Amino acid sequence: MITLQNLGFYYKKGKPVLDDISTELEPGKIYGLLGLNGVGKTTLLKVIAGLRFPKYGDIEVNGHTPGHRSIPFLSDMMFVPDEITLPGITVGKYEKLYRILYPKFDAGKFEKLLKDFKVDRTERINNLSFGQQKKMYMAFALATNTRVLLLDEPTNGLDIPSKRQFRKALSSHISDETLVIISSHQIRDLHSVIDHILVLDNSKLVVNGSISRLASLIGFTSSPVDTQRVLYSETLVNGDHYMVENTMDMESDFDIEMFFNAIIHRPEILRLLPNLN
Amino acid sequence: MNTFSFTRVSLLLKELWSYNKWLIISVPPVMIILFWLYYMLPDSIYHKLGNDYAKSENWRFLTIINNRTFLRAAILGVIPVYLYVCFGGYLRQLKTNSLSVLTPVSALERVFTIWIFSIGLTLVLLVFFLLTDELFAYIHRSLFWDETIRTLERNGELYYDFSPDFVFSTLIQADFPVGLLVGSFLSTLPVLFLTGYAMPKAAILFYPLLGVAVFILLFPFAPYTVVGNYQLNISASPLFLLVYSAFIAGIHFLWMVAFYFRIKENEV
Repeated sequence: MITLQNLGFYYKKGKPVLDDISTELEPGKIYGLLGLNGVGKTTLLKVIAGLRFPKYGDIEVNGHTPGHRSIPFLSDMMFVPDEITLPGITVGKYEKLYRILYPKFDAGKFEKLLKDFKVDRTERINNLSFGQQKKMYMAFALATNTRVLLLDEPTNGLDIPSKRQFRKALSSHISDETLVIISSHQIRDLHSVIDHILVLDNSKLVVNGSISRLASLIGFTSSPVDTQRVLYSETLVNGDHYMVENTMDMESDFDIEMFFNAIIHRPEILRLLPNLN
Repeated sequence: MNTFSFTRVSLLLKELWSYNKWLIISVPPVMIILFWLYYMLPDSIYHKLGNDYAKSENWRFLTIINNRTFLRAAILGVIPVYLYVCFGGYLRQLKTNSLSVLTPVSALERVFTIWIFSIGLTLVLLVFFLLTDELFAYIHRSLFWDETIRTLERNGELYYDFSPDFVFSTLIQADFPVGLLVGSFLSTLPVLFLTGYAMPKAAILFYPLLGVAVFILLFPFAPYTVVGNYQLNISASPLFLLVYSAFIAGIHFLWMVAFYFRIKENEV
């Protein structure tokens, strides 16, 4: 469980990056953290991970204050940053060195994920490509079985088969105890695994809702009927697409990307749908 | 869970060893190369012996017994270089790499491990320095001792008083304060950590200079100080040495505390 209470952070006084953010994130879910560039997604992940300390407000992760960086907290939380710098030792040596720090580390799972990602454990990490290094570290992070997993742009640098493998691994990773937060621009890569959306805009958390809840309020169609209020539309190669108010209990795949575009381009939608959060 | 565990410390030591294995393995050959280079300098004994003026036996003999070799202590300058190569990148990672910061080890364990490892590395360098010094003194004795004694006898010098710093002696035998020089680098170690952490580029210059400065400050208080051909016995009062050592230890400790909080409160 992650609890944020009136959390705020800034790099420069008077220019808040995160302002008065309050929410509770529950285990058993994969949260998609969305927002434009520079809106504070990575900063929020870093505050949750204990890499940055909040300027005001409180944060608690599984009963720990992240900024204290206590051993029980660090051994039950993994953060996979966008850019990874790993030591110049072999993958096998890396596992042997660090697995001891994570009590729930599953060596079999690590082995399987390396195989799935086609990463050779005898290879020196600094000889691997950026994508390979990322896959290796993601395999390690998933194998630690920590209760909190924070992923910043996890699919950056991954090839298409690896993205698929990653989605598969992530889906099998989630349990009633684990909480995953993914910050990504590449929504299409992770569309199928996310079950809760968090949207940051202008230093505020403007959307905090499960996909099922959002789908009960909003629908997506290429041919809206009269009774449906069109909230947003996009013209794509294959025609026009509409985001509409779901007044008819319609069942449609929730298009996270279109929803995100809609609230960024038409923020008033958030006021039109007061039950969104 | 405790903030200090020897299991995690041993893991961190293994981590440092795996990052620096080849650097440490390079110590013996590097020492031999540096000593060899030192004795091959233009002003060195081998250079002089090879010159035309050293052809006559007397010249050769004078060259051998008058050659000053204290400058080889400068080879100990590799200590700050090795420490910087070993820890420069590591400290940068601790400051900027989120994976290093989030490794489940405490700041106290980090600081302790870095401290222990750097002392260990310094001692490894010192041991190989002394062994190589002994090796070269042995080689010199094998090459020149008999010849020197014969020449001395021919010249009627049966009880010649050898200078303590000639080529047959090691620095230890010559009473050079090797321990003081190494101790100076050790006492200022936390400065390397702090500058290596906060200002990596300045560390390579600042740390060795400070080490040498401390050595120069303490040099007059070394129990035996050799100047030229004379062995002076200048010793400060034991109380003064005790107070001075306590002062250095106190400063060392405070620097370590500063380094600890720098790591603990670092934001990435």
